[in-house]
Amino acid sequence: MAGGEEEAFTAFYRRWQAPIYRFALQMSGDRQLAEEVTQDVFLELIRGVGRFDAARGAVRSWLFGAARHQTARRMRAERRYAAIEDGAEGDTAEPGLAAAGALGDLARDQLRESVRQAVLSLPAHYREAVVLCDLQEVSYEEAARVLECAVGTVRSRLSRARALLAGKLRAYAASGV
Amino acid sequence: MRGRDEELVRQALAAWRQSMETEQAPPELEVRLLAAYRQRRRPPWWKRPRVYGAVAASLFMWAAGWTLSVMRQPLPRLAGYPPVQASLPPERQPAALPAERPAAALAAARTLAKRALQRETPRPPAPMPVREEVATDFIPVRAGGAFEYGRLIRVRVPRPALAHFGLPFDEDRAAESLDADLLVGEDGLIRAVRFVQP
Repeated sequence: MAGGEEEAFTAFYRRWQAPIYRFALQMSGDRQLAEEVTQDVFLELIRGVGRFDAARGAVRSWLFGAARHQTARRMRAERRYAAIEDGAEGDTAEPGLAAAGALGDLARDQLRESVRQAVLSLPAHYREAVVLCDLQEVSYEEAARVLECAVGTVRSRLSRARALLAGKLRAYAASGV
Repeated sequence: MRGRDEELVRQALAAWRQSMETEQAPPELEVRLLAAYRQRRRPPWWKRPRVYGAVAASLFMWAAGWTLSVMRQPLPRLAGYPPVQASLPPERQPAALPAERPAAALAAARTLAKRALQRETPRPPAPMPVREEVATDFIPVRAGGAFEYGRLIRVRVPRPALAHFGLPFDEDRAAESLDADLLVGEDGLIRAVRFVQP
């Protein structure tokens, strides 16, 4: 593609636009912003394709990394990047979801909406881990490259994020959302 | 978090993931990006050959116009030497031209004049516009004795001076003057003279 073939670029875009778009959409919950982020990522690729170093990681890592930065930049500009305080919600003292039968009480559409709201309300660094590992099904190692942190950090963020999600889903089930 | 809660959270996330599998960027984004891709392949305006050609043509036209304007200006009148009014005391005025000029004296005067010119020009002169001059031979003047070196002085003399040295002149132009090169020895006495017609 660096050679400039238009067909190669089109094929590349069609291969990767959906994961990038979905990543931005799951991170922001905003279709307009997701579209803009997707555009920015591919524009960055068009303008600086020479900067992509295949030796440093897979194409997917580079694309998700670029999408992550673009999403954070745009959300920060709209003051939507910060979410709830880290550790504001615990999960140890609450009764378990299964025990409460909360998930079973939620209709499927309600469940999706509850998960969406719960994920969007996570702090950004937890949300990134959940979106990459649980929604985009990226390995911990690749997520670590995208998030520019250690694999252990990814694991701990993911564990904490899931605990926060459980608490939120419990709250939604209790409130009947 | 309990293991069962974790499993249920994963199920909830999987349900959301499945519901989003059909989500993708709008088709018009592909059109926009393709346009941007084609635009990138075009070199920026300052790198296009057409722009280079236009700039080169403009520079050429400007240089040609400037050269023509300079060539049309009249050349400044540059005298080879500054005019010097020679005024010799009466006792040093050259004697009347002898009836016959020995060839040896003439050759000696030429040699001396050449030497004087060589000594007078230790450095190459600054390039000056070439001007064609017609000059007579050096005419020796009996004044003073031998001399080692001399200098050449250009002076403006009245045209009747030509007759003084036995040269023809147009009496209708007697009021005019002409250039003359004087070969002056180190003692200040004139050794030879030639007349120059610009």
